[in-house]
Amino acid sequence: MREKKIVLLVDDSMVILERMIPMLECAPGVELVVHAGTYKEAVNILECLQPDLILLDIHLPDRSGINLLEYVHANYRQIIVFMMTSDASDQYRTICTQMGAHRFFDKAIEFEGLTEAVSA
Amino acid sequence: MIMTNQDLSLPAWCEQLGHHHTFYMAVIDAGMHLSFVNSHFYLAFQQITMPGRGRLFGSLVDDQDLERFDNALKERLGAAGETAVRLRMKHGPGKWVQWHLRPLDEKNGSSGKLLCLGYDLPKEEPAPLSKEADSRAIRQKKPAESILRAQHEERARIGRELHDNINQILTSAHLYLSCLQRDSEDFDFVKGKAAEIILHAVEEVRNLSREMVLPDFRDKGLIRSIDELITELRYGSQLEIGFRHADLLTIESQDQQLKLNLFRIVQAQIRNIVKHSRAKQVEIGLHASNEQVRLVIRDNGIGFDPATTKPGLGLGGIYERAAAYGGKVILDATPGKGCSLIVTIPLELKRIN
Repeated sequence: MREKKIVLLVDDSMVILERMIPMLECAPGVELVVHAGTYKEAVNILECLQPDLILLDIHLPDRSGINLLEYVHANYRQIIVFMMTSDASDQYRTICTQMGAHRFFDKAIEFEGLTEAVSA
Repeated sequence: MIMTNQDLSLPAWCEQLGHHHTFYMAVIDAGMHLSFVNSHFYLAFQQITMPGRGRLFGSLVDDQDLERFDNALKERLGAAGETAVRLRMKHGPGKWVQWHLRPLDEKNGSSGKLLCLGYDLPKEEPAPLSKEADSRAIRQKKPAESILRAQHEERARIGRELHDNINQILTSAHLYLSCLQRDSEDFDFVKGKAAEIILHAVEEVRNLSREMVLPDFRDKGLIRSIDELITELRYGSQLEIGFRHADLLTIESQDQQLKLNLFRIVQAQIRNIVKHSRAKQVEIGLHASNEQVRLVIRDNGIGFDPATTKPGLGLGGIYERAAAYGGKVILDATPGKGCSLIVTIPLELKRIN
């Protein structure tokens, strides 16, 4: 992994984006954050940039974040993926972990721990 | 209420800037170094956003405009407010891009970083723009423009409702269905859950479509439409709503467009009350004389502090609709003491212009 990370943030909610930008701005070890709002945008970005880490929302407007997780796992296995959702049921956790997600964050309650995990 | 740019959150800011789906978004520091970009920015200006390329925003800007950009940057760093600047770009799909710069840390600008939002302008050289994107412009908009803005906000709200709410509900249903296994002991539970979620989505779509349908005032009139709205709400919530009005003839003799806007204001404020206020009682008063129409909506909810509350889309739309008829909006709210919304529209003017 590079010394400083490139992070791809995939989430289409502007409200979450508003919270995430300042948070990621002060996460040590992050060099550049690229944001994509949809599955399609994320796939376009992945074609020309390989991030070290993807922060991925389960709910995307065009396809499910789980489809994207599947795509990343199949094509870019080295990329670490953290799933983010506001519906952190055990069922989701199990599905995502089985499909290769490294961590799982509940946006409602685990937001604070995310900076630390991103910088680790 | 005067909306200043400082009141705007990121979502509202993006919506206010226009109907551009393809925003460029970037965060830069005092040395123009990029630390955050959105996908549109990345894909348009890939050459410099690639790792190891230094990633200086300045290297995208045409040399002729670099000094102007530098000045805008200095003006906005560490100072609250917004600066708008039109720049010729060296790279990217379009030559001219309109940029709006705001400190990332709005309160005191201490982060030393700027959030930049931009969109492509038509190919030919645009007319010069005043240095400061001034909130006065919002207040001085022509009526037609205000109505259009209110409609745009409403569309944005419906879009968000469809996406944030209904889409999420359906995604949940999809997830439940995709982990349904015939022989699993959870089969009935998961199936029941999926069915329940889909029913919930049906109900949400029904609510939303009911709001979208315009009442026909020629047949029904405004008073009856408000009455029906209240009746519908009585079924759906614990809210007790009283409605007084006078004089019926003067009210119903107003033009359809004004009546529609008054109806939309009532609808928006009731929606705000149901969503945020925890009120038990609401009083609606609609009074028309030869000089003015006065609409008062009072609730006994938890109230709020107007000084610290960001104007959401609902309230923004109310101001725009009133402004379109040269009207005034007074919002009287105190934490713990409910809220009164008073809209006054002068009748001798009807529409300015």
